[in-house]
Parts: sequence; C-alpha cells; structure tokens
Amino acid sequence: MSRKFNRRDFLKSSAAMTGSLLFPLNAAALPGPGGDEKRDTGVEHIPSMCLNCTTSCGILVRVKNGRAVKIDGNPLDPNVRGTVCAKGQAALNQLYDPDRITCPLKRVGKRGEHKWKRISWDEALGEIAGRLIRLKEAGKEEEFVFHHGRSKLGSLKKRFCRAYGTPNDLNHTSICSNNLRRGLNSLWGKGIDFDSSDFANTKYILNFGSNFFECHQGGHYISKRAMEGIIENEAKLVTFDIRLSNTAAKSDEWHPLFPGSDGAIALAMGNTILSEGLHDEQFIETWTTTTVEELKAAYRDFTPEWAAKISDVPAADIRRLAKEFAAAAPRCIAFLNRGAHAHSNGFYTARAVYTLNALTGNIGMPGGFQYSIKGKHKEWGIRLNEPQPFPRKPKKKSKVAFPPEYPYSWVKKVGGNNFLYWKNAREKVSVYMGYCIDAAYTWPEGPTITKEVFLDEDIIPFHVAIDAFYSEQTALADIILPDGTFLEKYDHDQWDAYDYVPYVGLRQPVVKPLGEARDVRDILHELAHRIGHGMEKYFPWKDTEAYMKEVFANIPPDEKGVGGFERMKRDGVYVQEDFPANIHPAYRGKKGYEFFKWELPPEKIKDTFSETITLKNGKKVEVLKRKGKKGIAGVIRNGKAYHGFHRMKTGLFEIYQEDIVKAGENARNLDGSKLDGIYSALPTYYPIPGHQEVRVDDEKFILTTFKVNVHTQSRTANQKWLSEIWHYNPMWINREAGKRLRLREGDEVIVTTWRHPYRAFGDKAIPADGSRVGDLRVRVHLTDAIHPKVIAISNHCGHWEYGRTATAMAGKGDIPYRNFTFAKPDRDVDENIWWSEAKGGNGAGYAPNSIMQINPDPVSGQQGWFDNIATIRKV
Amino acid sequence: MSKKRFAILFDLRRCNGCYACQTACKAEHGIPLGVFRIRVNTFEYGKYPDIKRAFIPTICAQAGKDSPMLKSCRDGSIVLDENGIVRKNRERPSYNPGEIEKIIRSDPYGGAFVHPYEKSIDFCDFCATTRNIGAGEPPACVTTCNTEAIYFGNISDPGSAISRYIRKWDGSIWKGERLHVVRMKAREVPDVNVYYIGLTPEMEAVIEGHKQFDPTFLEVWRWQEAGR
Ligand code: SF4
Ligand code: SF4
Ligand code: SF4
Repeated sequence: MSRKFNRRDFLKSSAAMTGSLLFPLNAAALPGPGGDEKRDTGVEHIPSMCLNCTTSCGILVRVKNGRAVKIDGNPLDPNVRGTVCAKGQAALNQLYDPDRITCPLKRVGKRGEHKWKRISWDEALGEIAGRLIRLKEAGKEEEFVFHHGRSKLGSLKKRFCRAYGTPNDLNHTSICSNNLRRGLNSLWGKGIDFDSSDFANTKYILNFGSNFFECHQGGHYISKRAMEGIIENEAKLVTFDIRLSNTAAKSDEWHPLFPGSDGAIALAMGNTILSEGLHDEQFIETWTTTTVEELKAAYRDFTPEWAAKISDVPAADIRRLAKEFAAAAPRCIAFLNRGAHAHSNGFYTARAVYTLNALTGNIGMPGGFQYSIKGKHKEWGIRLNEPQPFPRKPKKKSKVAFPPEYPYSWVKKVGGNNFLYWKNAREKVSVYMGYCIDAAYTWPEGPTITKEVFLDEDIIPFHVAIDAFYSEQTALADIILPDGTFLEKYDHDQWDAYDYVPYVGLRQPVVKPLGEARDVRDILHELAHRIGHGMEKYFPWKDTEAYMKEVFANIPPDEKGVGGFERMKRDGVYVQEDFPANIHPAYRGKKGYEFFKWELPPEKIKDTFSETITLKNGKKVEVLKRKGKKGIAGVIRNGKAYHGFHRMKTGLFEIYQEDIVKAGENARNLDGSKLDGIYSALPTYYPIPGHQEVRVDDEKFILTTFKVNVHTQSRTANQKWLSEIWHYNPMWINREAGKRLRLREGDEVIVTTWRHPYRAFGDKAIPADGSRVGDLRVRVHLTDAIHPKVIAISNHCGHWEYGRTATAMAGKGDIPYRNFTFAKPDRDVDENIWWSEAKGGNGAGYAPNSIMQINPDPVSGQQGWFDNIATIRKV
Repeated sequence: MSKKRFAILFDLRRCNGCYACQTACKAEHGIPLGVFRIRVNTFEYGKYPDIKRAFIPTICAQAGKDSPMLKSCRDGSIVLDENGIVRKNRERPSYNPGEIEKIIRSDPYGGAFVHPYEKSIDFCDFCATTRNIGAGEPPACVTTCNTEAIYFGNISDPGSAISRYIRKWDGSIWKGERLHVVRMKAREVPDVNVYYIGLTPEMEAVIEGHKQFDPTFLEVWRWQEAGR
C-alpha cells in the first residue's frame, strides 16, 4: 500500500537527519502571503479531527502565534494517510468566518425579527436552567426536546437527555442514511450499520446511487481506496445514478435509471445469478438464514425484463453486469447510498443490493463487501472509558421520538416527520434545544413547515439554539448560545477503519474559542449542574478536559511510556496494532477479513450453553449463549464454534429477517388502526406511488437533489473558498426534454411539486392527496448528464441566513448582531464575493427543500427525498 | 546527478475534480477570491447517455529559463531561483500596471494573474516560498490529493516520485489503452515542466481558452459549453 510522503513525515525525518540545516535561513526571508514561512519557528502542528463533514478525517493543523493557518491530513490516521478534501482545507474559513456568533444573544423583537441583545453566559444559562427546573419539578421532562444535527457528542447527549429524563433525544439520521443503516443492520446486526468494503483490493464495484468521489460518509476513504483498486487492479466501476455525478463520470459504465428503481435492478441481478447458477451455495447455506431453494423461489419473478420495464436499463445490460459481477467474486462489491435508498421504497433497495454480496459469497473477503471493525467496539475494539455513573433510560415515552407507525425505525427514529407531528399537536413541547441543526433549511418542507412551527410560540414556547453560525433555524431562536467550531473543541471520534485495524481519534481545540464561544460539552456540563435535581451526579468531572482524560484512560502507553489522554493529544489517533490477535492468537499478523469464520478460542466457549433456533422458514441454527446475557456468544456451524455474525440472534447473515414482519404486525396509526405497508422477511420491491404514471406523462418529472464535492448539506456555504466554487445551482434538465419545453440555458421556470396521489402505506399522519406541495422559481441548466424524466437542484445553496458569504449579500446585507462580534473582518468577504448579484454574478442560488415533500419510507421512516412529482412552467 | 529540474504531473485517470488541490493552494498562500494559482477545469462532451466529464487541473507551466514571462520581464520582478523555479521576486515586486500587463500577455498558459490586494503579479511557484522544495518537501496541492493524482519532484533524478511514476506508466497498457505522458504546448515552449497522463488534444484546446483570473470557469453552465 502506498503512503505518500507528506509534511509531517518530512518534518520528522528532516529533524532526525540534519535538524534545521534543511531549512536555510535565506529561505525564511521569503514568507508567504498567508503569513507562513518555511522555517517552523513559532509554529506548532496540532493533531485533531476534521468535522467539516461527518467523515472525521485526522488532521494536522499548523498554528502560528495562536492562529490556525493551514490544515493538512494527519499521516498517523490510517484512514486518511495525510490527505484532506477541499472542505477540510477550507475549514479555516469556518473558524474565521467574520459573521460567526461569538457571544450569547437574546431575542428582543418578535421571533424571527432578527433583533438581538448581548447577554452574559450567566444570564443565558440561568434562564434556560430555570425553565428546565420548572419543567422537571412539574414532572413534564418529556416536554424538553434536544434536537441535534451534526453531533459528535456521542454518549454525552444521551447522558444529558437521560439524566434530565426526556425520551425526546432527537437526531437527523432519518433524513440522511437510515435506509442504508437499517437495511444493513437488518442483515448484519445491531450497531453494524455502515459498510466499509475492501475497495483497494477489489476487481469490481457495483455502485447504486453513491457519489463517493464527492460526498458519502466515509467517501474520502473510499475514494482513496477505490482509485487504488481502479488503477492498480484495473477494477471496473459501474454506477447507477439518475445523474452523471463525478463518481458516475469516473465509472467505466454509467447507467441512468428511472428514480427509485435501483432495488428492482438489484433483484433482477440476483435473479440472473441464481438462475444461472453463479451463486455461492456453500456461503448461502452455511452463513445465511435462508436457503438457495427459498431464494430461487423468492427471486423467480424478478427477471431482468421486469426490471428493465421499471428502470429503463436494458435487460441485456442487467444480465451482463450480473454475470460480470459474479465472475469477479469474491473480489467484488455491491453497495449503495442515498441516490438509491433515499426513496420511500429504499429500505428494501438496501436489502436487495447488500444481498447481492451474500449471493456471490464475497462478504468479509479480501476485495469484497466488508464491515469494518470500529475502534469503539465492545467485543474486540479499544475500550474507551465511559465515566460512571451513567443514567438509565427514562421512563417517559414519546410518540414523536418513537412513532407507533414505524416500529422498525429503531434507534434512528423518524426525524423527517417531527415538525409535522408538532404542528399537528401530537405532543406538547415546552423547551426546544437545537444543537448544530438547521432544520428550517435542511428538512423536507423545512423552509415552510419547520419555519412555521418555530414561528408559532404556542407550538414552541421556548427555543434555545446552540450554534456557531446564524443559520436559518438559529435565527428563529429565543436564546443563542455560541458553540465553538470543531477546531475549538473536544470529541472522541473515529470512522469505520477501512484497513480493518481499529483506531480511535481525538478532536481537540487547536486554538482557544473565539470571543465568548464555548465548547458545547462545557455548556451541557454547566447546565446539568445548574439544573441539579440529581442531574449533576452524572456530570462529576471538573471540565471537558478532565472528562476526556477519563475517556482515554485505557489507551496503552507507547515505547516512551506516553499513554492515555497525553498520547491522544500528541498523536490525534491511536491504532490498535495488535488486532486481530487480541481476539485469538491464531490471527496474529492477519487482517480483519472473514471474521465470522474465526473460530472461538476455548476461553470464549466456556460458560456457554447451546440453544437451537428454528426460524419460520424452517431453517434451524444452533447458537451459543451465556446465562443472563442478551445476544449470542457464538454460532455452531458444521460442528465447530465460530464468531459468526455475532450481533444477530441467529449468528448468521439474516437475508431472511423475521423481525420486519413482526414489526409490521405491530405498526399502528395513532387511532389504533393497522398500517398496510409491505413488511417482507425477504428482499422485495414495490413501486413508489404515482411514479409509474409519471413515466408515461410528458408533462411530469421527478425532482431530485444532489450533493457536490465542496459542500455539505447546510454547514459549508459560509466558507468562502467553497462557495466560490459552488454557489449557483440552476435546475438540471435533460437537453432534449428542455428543448421540448422550449427552454434555453438560464431561462427562469417555476417548478411545482405534487404530493403522492394516494396513500399507499396507510400512514394517516402523512398527507397523500395529490395536492400541491409548493412552487419554486429557478433558472435551468440544460445538460446531457441527466435522465430525461428527472430534474435536479443541488443542495447547499439558496441560504437566506448564514452570513454574507452564504447569502452572497456582500456589500449589501449585514448580520443583525454586528455590534457584538469578536470576529475579525475578512477583506474577501467585504469586497470580493464576485458571484454576488451586486457584482454581476448569479447570486447564491436556490434552496429546494421547500418543495421536497415529507415522505417517509414505510418500514424505516427514512425521508424519501427523491420521489417528488413535479411539473414545470416557463416564466 | 544532473541539474535540478522540478516538475509536476497530473494523472487525469486519477483526478476526480475534487478541488482539494485548488483549495489547498488558496489556504497555503492566502490567495484571494476570484483568482487562482491552480484551478480544476471541468468539461463535458458527448450526448446523453454517452456523456463524459473530464477534470483537468492547470497551473503555471514553470518553464524554467525558457519561461516566456521570465524572458519578457525587464524589471527583475520575476526571478529564477536556486532550484530553477520561476517565481515572483518578493523583494522587488512590480507595481507598474503596464509592465504587469506585458508579462501576463506573454504567458501562453493563462497561469498568471494580478493579485487583487498586493497589486502585483502572482502565479504558481511550486510552493517555493512556503515549503522546502529543494530538500524534497512536496507542495501543498500534491500532499492533499486524496486519489494521488499529482506527482512532484526533480525530474532529472530518476529516484524522484515523479520520475518513478512516469517510468511506471509511460507507454504501458491500462484498461486496454496505451498511456502517454505528455506536456501542454511543449512544441511552443520546450522546457515546460507540467506533465499529464490522459490529456487529449481536445482538452488542451478547451483549456487554452481558460485564464486563471476568470473565475466563471467554475460555473456549471460552462462545463458543456466548453465541450460543444
Ligand atoms: S472528508 Fe469530511 S472530515 Fe474528511 S477532510 Fe473532508 S470535510 Fe473533513
Ligand atoms: S486534488 Fe487531485 S483529484 Fe482533486 S482535483 Fe486536484 S488533482 Fe484532481
Ligand atoms: S505547487 Fe503550490 S503554488 Fe503551485 S498550485 Fe500547488 S499549492 Fe499552489
């Protein structure tokens, strides 16, 4: 595996070789315009972790005289090996955004009127704690909602919510990746909800709707390794996507398809593999909950001809690709992301795509489909300390956090529906605390329904925002608490280890928080102590640094005797080099491949007893259990005890998954009536309501969104080097379709979206009456790079808040709290936003979420972003 | 070892247009909005569904003593440093608009621009002002390229990263096609030090029209305009 020479290695080796002689003095006389210089005098390199997206790359930040001046990748981080993406490079713009919030603010005008006064931390936290105390004393803990977006608080937010006693600890996973996660862990087990396949060693990648070269959680790691596979192994990359993403552009084959038909294609490929006998019989029979016979029957009708009719991908291509894929086994990978699964049929799409890997037996194999070993794994990873005591689950229940309509949504909840639920008075909210979340911009119907809910003080009587930036949602708060940016605070973090050796990382402040900003961890700690009533005993540490010290106490010392938190602060990461020998000495020197086939060492079998499970399809399996313990200790196959898919109750890869059916039987509307979603134990497919009609109607299109490589959903538009690259997002429409509508490049149109024409799944809370969702006025971009029935508007743009860079209001608008900011001005932002309309540019683009209907997957609750039925009218 | 000649290579098979190099350069050198030392050009060609998209990073050609800018510069504001790198002279920058314009016009690659705040000429100098290039430290854009599309080093040294990479791939067959390492406009300016794998004459023609000081190359409506 190649590892590039980079700055840190260079510094290390040069110091070891000749010391400062390598940096001659005359060179130091030529400082760069950024204020840097060659010689590293007065310069520190502080390791941390990036959080400009959720991938959490290890970084090394060059800090000079208390100012962060450059971000590079941390070469010690095994996932990134010293690189960062454009967002990582530009994260300095976030830290030094001249428009960030740097002191606590209290609303003085009407909500949303942008009138603020500066208040002290004492006053701010005093008022919030006072309200939370009153609520607690009244026994109404559930009326406190903690809602977060990109949070790396980990167990701390759970601790905070539990200690307070509210079940309303809400996240954003269901508007993001829930179908992928729930799909995968329905097959592989609890906590195993993201694949991290062996891209570097593969020969064939079947990609359904993932744009890993531009986004995808962990995409930075995949890109690196997939490119290695493509160049060094001449691996073939095949992409199904409605639009030519950069990933599709780098693929050997791009197959445009009708939206929401990925699952049908995956099933048809399974049909080909099974009917042509290309499957791995031994794997299916030994390691899955189904049988070849059962699968053949289940896949019989999913023919390539059937899928071609649904998807527009020719049957011959589906057949050919299925055979190529199977021929490359076990060095092949079938995987997906949002393009394929963020539909209201996406849960089964995820199951169908992942199951292809089981059919060909590539699971856990070198070059195959793999789940990596997370650093924080209880069973075999690095044991991080959880400071004790830890609060128990609250007794209170919530039908917003856990809607009875979606029993299979599990811990990831059904966030896309929250605001609709509150609007419809499903439950009362007294205090809403948002952390790093911008639902008024990022939620489906966010700019309409979410905003409306926040503006209504009867629905949300008190709104606290913890955020570093004046987002669309923060602007609607009553009190704003200025959070630090990720370069100013602590987290313990990691992502799946793509080289299958577990690691953990530390995010640490590289500079002091600007002005009066504070690490959110400190804010929650102080709040817990102010609220008291027993809550404080779950926050016994002195400050966040002391907490982190405890968390990392188990990190072993290196050869110099530096261990624990000190080691983390110095290196930024700790890699568990002895893995997997820590599980069984027989695995010394091996990688984490095929771990379900690892035999259990004798000490892991003692104190176990065996139990035979009989599934409803008749398959029997013998598992090992331990008295008083949930879950299994292992699985018996062919007379031997193995690790198996140890997080599943059967110890097997559960293609046949009974719990889905059981959950479906339990799903209820609020009035107690049953739902009639499709709850199938085996992978299946159903069309999205109204879509087959769109296919044959010249007037109608499917509206989708997409992400580009330099932005995240909502948290990057204020970063000047990124918004310079992508600020204007006209609506993509196929050139021929556009011509039919007599459209030219840059013409203005009104896009109207329409709700699903009928309620297919019986969820009475979600409107499905064919009515209008909304209108959006946009310019068009005619392109050959999109399916003729699809129109697409990228995310990221069209901010109406978030500071001057995001809104391209340079020279015109200003931030309403200008008088109380500690941030320094930035000449670029003051003078040089060249894309602003004032400078003759295109402006800040469009925010499409106002016309993206709330549309949950009936099984998982994942928001179906890409199912919008749309019509277009020229202005 | 013969004379040092630093060069950079972009393997377009590996480039996915991620803009990390372009952003790293902005950060490393504090380059203002609207101008670029390196930029990633995107261009599309073909018709649905046989549409292709290519990404081509472009920088100053770094033509050493052959550099047209160096030759046209009369006031000492551009120099050739001890490593053979053409760079602006920080001690004696030119603020004379006439002189600057003359120099920029002489540049056939569109690699130079006027720094909007310093009001002097600026272009890629292989990070010679911020990194110790002579001792083997690679530039900022090179170290951050996730897919390892950029290679740098002393091309006279057969052991350098760039020389090894060229030896590995030049003339070899990959995915059924023969690869060639080429330079842009090498016929006009013989000593160009920017190399590519996968650069076609069409791409070269497109890039010819681009200038480092026209930021609208980034806009999506220009991607296919270039390819048609
Ligand atoms: S991929 Fe995400 S975490 Fe990694 S450098 Fe880019 S923005 Fe930062
Ligand atoms: S960093 Fe590498 S992959 Fe990204 S645009 Fe630059 S050359 Fe291409
Ligand atoms: S070598 Fe340095 S100056 Fe030149 S483009 Fe790369 S980062 Fe910018």
